[in-house]
Amino acid sequence: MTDHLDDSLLHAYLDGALAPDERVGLEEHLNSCPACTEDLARARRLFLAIGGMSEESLGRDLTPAVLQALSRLPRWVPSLAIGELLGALGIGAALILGLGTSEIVDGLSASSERIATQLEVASRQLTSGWAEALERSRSFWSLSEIRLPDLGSAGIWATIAIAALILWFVGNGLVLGQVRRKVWR
Amino acid sequence: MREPADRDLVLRTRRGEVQAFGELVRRYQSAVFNVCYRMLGERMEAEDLAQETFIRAYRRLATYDADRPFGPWVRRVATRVCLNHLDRRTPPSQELDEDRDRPLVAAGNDPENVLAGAQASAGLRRAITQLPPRYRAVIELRHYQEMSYAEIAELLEIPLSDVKSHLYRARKILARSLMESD
Repeated sequence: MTDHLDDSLLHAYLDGALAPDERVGLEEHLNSCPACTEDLARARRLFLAIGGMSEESLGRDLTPAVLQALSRLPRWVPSLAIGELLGALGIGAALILGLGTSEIVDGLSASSERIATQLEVASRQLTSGWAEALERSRSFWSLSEIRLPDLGSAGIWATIAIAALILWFVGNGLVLGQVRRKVWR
Repeated sequence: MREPADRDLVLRTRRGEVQAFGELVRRYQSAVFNVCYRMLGERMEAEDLAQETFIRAYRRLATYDADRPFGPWVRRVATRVCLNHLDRRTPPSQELDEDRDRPLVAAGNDPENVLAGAQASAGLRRAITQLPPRYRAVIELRHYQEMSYAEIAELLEIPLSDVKSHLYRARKILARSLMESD
């Protein structure tokens, strides 16, 4: 037999990295080729030698030095705790702003209808407020004449706060998901 | 009393209990040190890098999946830390020195036979430290951490074909170095 197997193929075989059909073809060749069988045995000895290198003992305990270094770092704060904290703050803010417990338990349909109405009102008010501001800018006399547009009831602000929280949770989840997929291997 | 599982220690660390991380350091410091020692070949440097590995691991604990074993993860972190260290230290010319990869001479002696005996580990360790950094990394990840070609490619962010060629060349260099030192 004149065509012998390449060493890289033998290495891939020992690494278990060949496709099943490649492996079968290689083994058939090995059965009829003493030279390649000897090459494989030599490669196997090299693999065993590399893998068999003895482990060295560590001369000292690294724990105190690591803990000391860690004490100079900011404490590890889990993202869930931040989420819980912000969630609690959001709920608290909603209650303070007058959303009211009874309104929370009214049901999703009622809430969504109210939110839609409030958003529409807010939109109108923002538009009219902006137009008013533009009008005032044309005849600008003094700062005391500027009045912030009335954005309506506290419910609008609560709605905006809840929407922001939802965006925060979804966005944070997506970002963390990406990071985990990339870094953990 | 039963020792706490790695997963529990990770979760406690995430809750801010730094001492729990200290227990993880105690458990895995030897394994991490050996990764660094194989990659660097110098004890003091290996100890420093092992320490840095744990600090890096602590800071990146958010990216660790606590349902998977901690040991392999922290050893991979160690490999990356050492590789980054070597990349900063090694002149680019060494990485590209393909002349080191000339074919093995046809030898009457079996080059692997020199590995037998008490000095085999020391000789092999010396030979590994003569390899370019990425060759060291693939040898470490394949032979000592038993990662697949695909996993190595993903970790080192190199093509699969590079993993195969790096491994093949690294092994050839190791075999030749060992034969020459006989």
